[in-house]
Amino acid sequence: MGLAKQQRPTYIKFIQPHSINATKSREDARLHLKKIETALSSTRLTIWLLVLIGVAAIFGTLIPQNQGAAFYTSAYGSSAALITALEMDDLYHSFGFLLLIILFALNLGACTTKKWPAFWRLMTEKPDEVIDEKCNTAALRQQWAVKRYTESMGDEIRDRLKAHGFKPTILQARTDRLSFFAEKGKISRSGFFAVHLGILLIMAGAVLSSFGFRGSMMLLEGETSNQVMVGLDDRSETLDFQIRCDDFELTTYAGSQRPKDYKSRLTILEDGREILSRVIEVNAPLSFRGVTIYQASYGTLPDTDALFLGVQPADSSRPPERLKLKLGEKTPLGDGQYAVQINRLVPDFVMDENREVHTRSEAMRNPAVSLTLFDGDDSLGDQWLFARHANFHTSQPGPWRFVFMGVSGKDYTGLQLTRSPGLALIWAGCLLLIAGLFVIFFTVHRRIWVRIEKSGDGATITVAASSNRNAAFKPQMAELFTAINKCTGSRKKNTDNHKESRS
Amino acid sequence: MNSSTLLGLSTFAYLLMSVGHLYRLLFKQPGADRILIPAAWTALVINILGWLLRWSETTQTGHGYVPLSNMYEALTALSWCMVLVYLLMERHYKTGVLGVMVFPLVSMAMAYASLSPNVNQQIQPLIPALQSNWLTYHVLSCFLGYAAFAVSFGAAIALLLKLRGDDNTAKTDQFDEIIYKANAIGFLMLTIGIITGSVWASRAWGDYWSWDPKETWSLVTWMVYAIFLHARLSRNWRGKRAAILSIAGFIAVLFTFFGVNYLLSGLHSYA
Repeated sequence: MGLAKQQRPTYIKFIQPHSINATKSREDARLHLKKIETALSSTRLTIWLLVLIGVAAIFGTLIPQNQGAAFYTSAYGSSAALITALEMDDLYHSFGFLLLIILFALNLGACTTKKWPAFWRLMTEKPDEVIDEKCNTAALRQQWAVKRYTESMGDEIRDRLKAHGFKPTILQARTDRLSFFAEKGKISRSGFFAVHLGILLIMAGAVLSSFGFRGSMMLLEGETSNQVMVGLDDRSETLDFQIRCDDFELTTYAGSQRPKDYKSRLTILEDGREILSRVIEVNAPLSFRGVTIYQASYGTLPDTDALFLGVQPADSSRPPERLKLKLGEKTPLGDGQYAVQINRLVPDFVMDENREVHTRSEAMRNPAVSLTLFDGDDSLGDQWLFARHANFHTSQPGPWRFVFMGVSGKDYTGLQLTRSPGLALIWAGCLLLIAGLFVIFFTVHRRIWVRIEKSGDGATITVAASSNRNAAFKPQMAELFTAINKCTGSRKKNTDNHKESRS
Repeated sequence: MNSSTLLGLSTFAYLLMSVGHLYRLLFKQPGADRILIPAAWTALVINILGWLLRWSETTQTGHGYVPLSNMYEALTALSWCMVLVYLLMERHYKTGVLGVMVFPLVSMAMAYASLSPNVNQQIQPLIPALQSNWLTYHVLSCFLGYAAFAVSFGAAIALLLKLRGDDNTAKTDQFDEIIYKANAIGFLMLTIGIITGSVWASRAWGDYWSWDPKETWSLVTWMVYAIFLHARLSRNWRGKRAAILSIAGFIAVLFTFFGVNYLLSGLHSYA
């Protein structure tokens, strides 16, 4: 038995023509695809994805993002490894989150395409072709048998529809048959597509924008640059034009330090040629060739061409002479036998446990310089000097004494630069989304078919109605049915055998 | 007369309204609506006048701004948004009992604004990033959205209470309708609010979306109501389940509005 079972497929395979097999597997593949499509286009999946994305997003607000490994170790101890392994320190850009978003986009796309054929059929449907079907099956419909029909009856029904804001058009006007059709709010059906396409456009725009960059540039007044610092890891982006800061201006509110406004006059240059000049301020950026330049911050940077040093021979009692030095430039002292050179400027001096010098910030909180005294070409040694603490310095070799008297500050403007190629797409998607929601919430598609079939003196009048919000349409139709009933019922007295049948 | 007098007066009026609505419900006095509804409109007008007066007070300091830039101003604005949405809903649906849910919420918001030590009432000139019309569009649309969600929350609680007592289902149908309508309007306004906020961020910081906690929570709120709308429109969720979803949505709203400011930190820390 087992053997027969094993042999049977081989046999079938042998006698079956190859093409049938291929068709079968193609059929299988199609079925699989269909299954995937059905699963992808279900509202249940939409709801689950929204739940999952929501929960993940909440996690991202509870765990501080992009803080660097040291932060997580100190804040979460042994679970820090888990957090970084699951990319929860940069959750919104993690693989898992991306996967959810991609699934969501597929789900959205599948839902939209699934609904498209029915929508298209409805948009292109000819009312006279479907009238009989609607008159037999519509959820909201009513039929009257009229013994003696007059032409004015049709007109009256049309007047009733007009009173409700419909504009009926005649479909058929034959001796035995009069029919007309009226509709309102056809646009209502497109709301679904507008909303979902809108969201897809926003997502597409976000993907496109991820090929752009967002970075910063610090420019001193008069300085020109085309280097944009991107991200924390000192990557930089080179612009194909230069930006020069001509002027920076900060205004504060009267009697306080609270900034009121800050603005920069920028000039865009290309190969040294000035292209345009514009003032930017907070909330009023400048766009040039797809790069938008924002006024983001400001501050003071030391001017390394204007370091001031008080110089005095060791045996002199006169007050020190003030010298202006450039960073890294050897400057002769007195008769020229000795010279001094400032090697390093630190704006906010701090020394770590290894006695390495760092700066705590870019602000000039504790400016310090390291300088070398030369006798001819021979170095006599280095020393550290502090502008805020004149008496606190390292040992001073050689016959000269120095005081660091400070450094000129230069205002710099902090610019934020972005290239966001998908931004237009995002705003288009947003508009579509808002418009779509308006349409979904505030419009209803209502359709009414009226069919009068004349036979002899009498007629059968059928009114059918349909809508994408039947609950909202029902009360209005009930009113219309009563009104139409009156049109036909007025003959009741004459004929006295009017029959009403409600289906 | 200054703005805090008027706003204090409206707080008092809202407290009275809460008591009045409680009386109407407990003693089954629908006739009280003849007083309660006009009184609510009056309180609303006082609230709005107080807020407008605050606006004019800011201009007297020489640097006027639409008063939506700190917690005090936000709460007084949110209060009139809530009462406005409530009154419009009540005009249409005439539930009579929605007020007993809404006015305590509004009273709490107003009382918190004027009494809490966490809330600074001082008029402070705006830092440059806040000097944008987009701020006004962003905050007002968000607040109208929150107000609609508050009304839907009230209706959801009312619906759940009705389901416990054996009232007729016709009444809960009406609450179902209010929940749906309020959530629909709220969702639309929140969508506009998030988008205008994004436009503003894009103009001020060059980044239309930065996953800052407030942004993220507003998106989470948006998603909860998106789930509600899908459940309702394509799976016809009504009654208890719809009410519970609305309540979940409102908890997300509360966290977006208060929780993020007090428990998390980010770009919105000034508001």
